[in-house]
Amino acid sequence: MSSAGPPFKRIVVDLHCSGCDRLIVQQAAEFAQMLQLELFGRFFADPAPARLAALPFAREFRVGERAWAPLEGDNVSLELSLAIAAAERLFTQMSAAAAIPRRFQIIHDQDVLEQPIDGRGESIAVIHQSGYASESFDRTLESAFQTAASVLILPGGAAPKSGPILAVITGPNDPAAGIAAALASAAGERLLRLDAQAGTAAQVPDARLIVARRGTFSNATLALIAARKKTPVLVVDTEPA
Amino acid sequence: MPTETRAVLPSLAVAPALLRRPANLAALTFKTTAECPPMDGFTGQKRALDAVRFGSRVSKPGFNLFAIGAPGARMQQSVETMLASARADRPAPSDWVYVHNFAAPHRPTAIGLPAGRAPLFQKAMHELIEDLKSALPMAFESEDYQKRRSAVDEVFQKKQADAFTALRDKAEAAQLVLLRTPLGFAFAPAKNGTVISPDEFRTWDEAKQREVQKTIEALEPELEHIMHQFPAWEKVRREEVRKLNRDTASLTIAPLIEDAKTKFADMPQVSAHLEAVRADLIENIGMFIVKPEGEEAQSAAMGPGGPFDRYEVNVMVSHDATATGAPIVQEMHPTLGHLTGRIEYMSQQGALLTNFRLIKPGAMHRANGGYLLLDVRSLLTEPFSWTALKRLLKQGEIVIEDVNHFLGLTSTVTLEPDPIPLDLKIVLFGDRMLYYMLAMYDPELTEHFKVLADFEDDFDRSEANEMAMAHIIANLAYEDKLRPLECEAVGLIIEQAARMAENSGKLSLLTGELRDLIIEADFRAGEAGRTVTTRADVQKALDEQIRRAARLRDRSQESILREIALIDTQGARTGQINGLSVLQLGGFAFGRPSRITCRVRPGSGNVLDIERETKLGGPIHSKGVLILSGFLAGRFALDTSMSLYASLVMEQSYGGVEGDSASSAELYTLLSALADVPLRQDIAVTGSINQQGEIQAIGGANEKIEGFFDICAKRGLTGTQGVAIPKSNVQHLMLRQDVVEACEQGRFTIYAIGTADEGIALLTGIAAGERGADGRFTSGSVNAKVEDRLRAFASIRQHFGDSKPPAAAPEPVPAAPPAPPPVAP
Repeated sequence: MSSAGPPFKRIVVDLHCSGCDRLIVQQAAEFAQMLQLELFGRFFADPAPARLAALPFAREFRVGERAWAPLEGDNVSLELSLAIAAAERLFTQMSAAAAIPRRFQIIHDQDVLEQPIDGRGESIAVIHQSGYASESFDRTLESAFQTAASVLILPGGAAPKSGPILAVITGPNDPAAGIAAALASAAGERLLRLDAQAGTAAQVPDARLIVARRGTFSNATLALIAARKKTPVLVVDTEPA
Repeated sequence: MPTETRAVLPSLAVAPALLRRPANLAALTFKTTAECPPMDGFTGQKRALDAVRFGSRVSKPGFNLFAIGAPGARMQQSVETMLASARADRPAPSDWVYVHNFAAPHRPTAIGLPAGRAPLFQKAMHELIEDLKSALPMAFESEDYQKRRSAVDEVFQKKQADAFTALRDKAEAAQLVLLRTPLGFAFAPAKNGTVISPDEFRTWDEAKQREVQKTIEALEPELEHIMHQFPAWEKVRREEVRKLNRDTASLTIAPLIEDAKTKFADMPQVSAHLEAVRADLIENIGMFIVKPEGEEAQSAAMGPGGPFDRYEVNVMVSHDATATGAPIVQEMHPTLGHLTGRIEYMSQQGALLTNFRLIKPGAMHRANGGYLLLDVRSLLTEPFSWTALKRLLKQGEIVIEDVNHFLGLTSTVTLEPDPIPLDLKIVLFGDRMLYYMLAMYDPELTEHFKVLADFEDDFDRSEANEMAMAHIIANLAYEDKLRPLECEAVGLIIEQAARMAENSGKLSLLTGELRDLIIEADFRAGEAGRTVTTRADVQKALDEQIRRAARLRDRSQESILREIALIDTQGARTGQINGLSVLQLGGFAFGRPSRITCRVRPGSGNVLDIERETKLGGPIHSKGVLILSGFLAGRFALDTSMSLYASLVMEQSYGGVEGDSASSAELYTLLSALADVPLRQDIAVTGSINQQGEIQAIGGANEKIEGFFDICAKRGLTGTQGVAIPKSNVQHLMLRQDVVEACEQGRFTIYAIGTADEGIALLTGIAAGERGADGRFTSGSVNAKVEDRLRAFASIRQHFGDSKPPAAAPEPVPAAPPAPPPVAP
């Protein structure tokens, strides 16, 4: 790996996902600022509820109220437009605060959402470790890897704002080492290397960011590191050089 | 005019040998105190020390000690020495700790441990928690735990997913899809997995539309059922996670707790506490696992008042297990907090908080099982301390009371720590006045302090006791690492001890002052380059001590020598005498002559004490004047009314006058004025008088004599000058060497006076006179002149206002013998 800048150009945040809150967008923006990347926000405006609302017997089971209520077209549209406006406002606010390039996109087609984005290899998809109570972490991670070649797992709470960049490597040719070195250089932080052979979640030292190749840790361990260590984990889907 | 009868007096002069009793150097069997083994301070204190011995050994409640004596009696040193030997008889006291009470946090639990074990318990608990801080996170981050935790989550998620998948499949089979709406879930008719458009739906016939609707309505209860099951499933998941956490924690905690219990297996209270800790740890493992966010929160969690505090041990008192004996603790500043312990608070975000770790021990905790020494004056001047001490002695346990709380100074949450059993012997030190006042005003005193140790101020002076005093002096020098003292120096200090006792037959036990003298003598010896302290060094120290303090004495003498204060030291004057008084200022006492005068005239029988009339005389002085009036009334002109007006005054006295030591001088002045005979001015007089005319002992005889001697010496000793003192004061004489030498050379004389008649004869040179068989005083005697004058006054008063002056004074009626009874016809 050369000592040039990190091989990334953007960070992708899916703003429609459950659990995508202010803290996640803020952390994604700060990460983008650290590496001088573009922040790409996407919102999927699902048309299906609007279609259903146009049918005469449409109703929904509201989770908060634990009761059935008529699904009215106007309300659905209004809720959707409000959700889009709120997401865009949050996105704009956070990216402006970080002074980074930004792009916001509303997607109306499910197929578009599930396709790899342009420049997948240079993109990092953001997911939130504890934000998927009704969704499987595995499925969320898989879905994120469809969108981008690298996935940044953010912890639930506040993440460290300084500290070394830790590369968890499986061998001398592990690309995580090079990527971590580039990130450390860009962030002005120290680089630490940890041999993953003996590595468990408990033995991972405190760091600002952990970088590992996909497959180094099980999905459960990745979730654990993010949760227990309160440390973002960048998983790169790259074969060893 | 009757002729005067010259006085024929037995020698009233005190022999020079009686003016100062020297130390018997021949009996002091050492050259310097280096050969003299140091001796404890018990000499002459048998009564007090027997009391201390008894009080320190009797173990029943209430038998605490109250040691009283003069300042400088080294009571505390003596008591401490005795307690040090008694302490070995008492078992080593327990250590005491406070731990968190998990059942009632506001009532910390007190645990007693064998001596020396408290710090070990504290260390064991601290290490236990430190070990758990690393062991518990490790256990919860282990692969094993994570697998089991994932399994629990997986079951929950799978249950959810399966339920939704089954429902989705069912919906799909019915050509429906399960949609996520902004606020929940809904079923929608679909074609190829996509919700059909409203236009297409409207193309369907009504029956198909109704069928779809019925199908949806049939599935909706299942969705509703799944959604209603979510909380129950989540509850089950939480329970399983909690159980898994408890099991994991128990496995980690158990060996550490068991290890700690093994170390303290002989202490059931510690074992019980460790079990309570175990239960609490299992319920609160979260604080070991979840790191607080932010540096501030982390340091708050680790610091005092943090959540881990509850597992720590607050050692209130610990004793060295290898040392034997009970503690002896002295509390110099016995505030309530210092005495019984206190509860401190710390400020957190503006609120005052406390916990069991902020309980601080008091002197009673530290001395428990041993002895606590307190100065009673300090104790009484501290608010609440005395009453708290009595209360705790009555309760038999140490209860920490938060004074701020019951004064209403703080209204925050406080603690009620478990009382600690009290097994304590208290020794109070104080002066006698405090003890007697306390005994008078506080009936509880004798309930709690049944043993009185009354320390003597002095002891008899014998050869053996002079040697004992030499040992004490040697000990004082040894303790302060001073030069050894020569035998002659010790002799002078012994003489000074007798002077301090104001009795040539006693030796003062107020060794505090002697110590000061020895230290200064040592300094003088050092200045002179000597390796031992000599008599000259001691004398120099004495002289310098006086010189430093004698500015007022010197000013007083100067005013007399310059005749600002009028004192005659030769010649004779009627109705005028030199009395003697002692001024004590700042610990230095000196004698000073004072002129006393008297004027007489006919009156109603009053002797006017001008000091009393001007409110400058104290009650004892006034009593002395009234006594001499009584003497006068009982001796002279018994057959007629007392028609005397006399005024007595201490001239040039501008301050208060107290004491009756001038009453004999006042009587002599009065007699002189009445008899119209002059009094010698070269003899100063001191002594009190009773109604029988006997002269009684007074205090400060040495200072008074020296005060008059100094004036006479500075004016030039004439050989006739001297001081008349009560005969009973001769035993108190320990005069300065220069006074003794002047007396030996016949240049100054001390007279010992037993009666007023002896005194007036000495001062006038005229016999006092005795009442003869005819009832009259010896003709020409002072008494006869006095009686004649009083009769004359009575006559004047009787004929006051008559046109003719009274004839000669009426013939006196014989007072004795009585007239024979008339013979019956």
